[in-house]
Amino acid sequence: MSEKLIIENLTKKFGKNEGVENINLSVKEHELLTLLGPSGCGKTTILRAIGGFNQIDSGRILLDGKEIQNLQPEKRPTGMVFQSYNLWPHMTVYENMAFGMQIRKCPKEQIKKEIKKMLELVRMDGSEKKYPSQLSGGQQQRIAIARALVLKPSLLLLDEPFSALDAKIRGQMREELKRIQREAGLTVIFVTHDQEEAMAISDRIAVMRRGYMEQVGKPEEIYDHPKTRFVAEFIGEMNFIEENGSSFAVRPEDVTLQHDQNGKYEIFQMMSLGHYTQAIVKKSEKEMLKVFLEKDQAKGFETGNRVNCIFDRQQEFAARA
Amino acid sequence: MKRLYYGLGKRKFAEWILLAVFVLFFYGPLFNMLTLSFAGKYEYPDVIPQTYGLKWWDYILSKGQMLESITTSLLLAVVVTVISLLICLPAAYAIARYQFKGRSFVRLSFLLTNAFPKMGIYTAMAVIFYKLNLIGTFTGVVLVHVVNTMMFMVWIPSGAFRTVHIQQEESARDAGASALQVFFKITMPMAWPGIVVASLYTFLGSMEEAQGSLLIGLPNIHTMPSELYGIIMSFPDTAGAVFAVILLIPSVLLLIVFRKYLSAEALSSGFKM
Repeated sequence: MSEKLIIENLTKKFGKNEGVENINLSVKEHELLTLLGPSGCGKTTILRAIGGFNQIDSGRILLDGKEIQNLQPEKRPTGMVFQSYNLWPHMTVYENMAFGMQIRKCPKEQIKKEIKKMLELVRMDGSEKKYPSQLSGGQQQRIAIARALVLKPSLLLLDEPFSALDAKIRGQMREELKRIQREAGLTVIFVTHDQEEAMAISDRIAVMRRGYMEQVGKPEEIYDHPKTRFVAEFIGEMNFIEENGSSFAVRPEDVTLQHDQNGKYEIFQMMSLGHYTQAIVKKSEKEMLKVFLEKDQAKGFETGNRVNCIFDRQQEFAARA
Repeated sequence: MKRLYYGLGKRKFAEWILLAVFVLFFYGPLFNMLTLSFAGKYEYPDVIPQTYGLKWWDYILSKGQMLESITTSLLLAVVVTVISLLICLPAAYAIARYQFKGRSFVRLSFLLTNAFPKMGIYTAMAVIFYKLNLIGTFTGVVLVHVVNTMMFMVWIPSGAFRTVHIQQEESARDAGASALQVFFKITMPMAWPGIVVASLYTFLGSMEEAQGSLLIGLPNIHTMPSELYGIIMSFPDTAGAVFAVILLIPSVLLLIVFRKYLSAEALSSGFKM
């Protein structure tokens, strides 16, 4: 697969401490890459720099082999979808989608055809004559995505597009996005602070913190082999066991419980979460572990049982300073 | 009356009386003016005319100077509105969109002309305009009117621009529109109600402005309100009434046409600090 987008030494500072510095990143053709991190980590700054909405301080952005960092947003072959307020309320869905093509002076027949095709792709066919206020939040975001896609962008930029939607719709939209990306062969950069969302949809994830890339890799790679303690903490659930000046990280699903009258741990709480059970085991007031048990396994244990914990997999990090 | 009092109840009756007073207060003079304008013969102190007719309409409409003042006023109002839009819309947009040093100072300075007695400002302007040879010119009167309307023209559209989200503008840039195209195709249409309301105020304000027009415009420029002063002083009441009704027509027409834009919301968003 060829490199679609290459970012070299990108720096964009807001004041002294805000912003990003020396970012290097590449995105492959047909890849969905997620920029993931807590708010203020610089993920949106990078996305806006690619879209042309942030003038960058230094560095290069190459899209399809061409430098785009000095172009105005309207000259860049990128399509952007924001968290909310994407659509223009005084225009119908059709007018919203035709806007960019009319500026490009496309013939009317072609505009009509392309819009119909795109609305089918996002499963909103027949909504041409509706106004944005007549659509639900999820539908509005579908139209926003379709409006970006109708211009055939070389790269689709999504800035937390599902964050304003409620949990159930958000889950559906993830699946939809994945399908649309596959069917249309899109290259996508997706920004989110939701690690679950990132794990679910990404081909690769770039975990960011305070303007730096902590780790870039496939979701399973990041989950199974976090490079830094921050990544280990931020992605999924993680137990940290401090021992002799170093700390071990263990995923709750990598802990096996065994009945033992003299065991070091006591089951403090059992909580059924539907398809699995979460147990909290306690060694001392300070040392508690979270353990995920399969439904069948959980049947043998009760609050108050003394147990031993066997760690199937663990990873060592430097102790917290 | 007694029947009405007991029929409505004490509270309702008081409300009814209050309403009647208000209606009389607001519409009484208007009604009086209308009847007077269609009077044939009218003598003080009667409230209504003795006979009716179109005598005074004929009289006013046959006076060339008065007809001319109608044209002048309408033309003036249009020019003032357009110029005020050209000056104030960019300022309103900048105040709504950009954070810059002295932003609230700039914003409040548009209030200045409305914060002081008008006559003082006009006199000061007259002194300057005299040196610039603007006294008695159309341009001079336009300038006086524009100064008057600036606060409405900046504040109300600025409030309207604030309701347009930055993402909506950025999406349009992203779709290939230049900054100017975005302003005219996205931002302006979305802020339209506020712009219409402000233009309406400007137009009506210019139509009824008299003091500044008198001081700066005379002796060459006669607008309807400044002409009205002369008519009231040197003709019978009935002639003044006819002229006042003529002055009222464009205002009423505009208010009827644009009434759907005249919401409290459009006004209040402009005056948010």
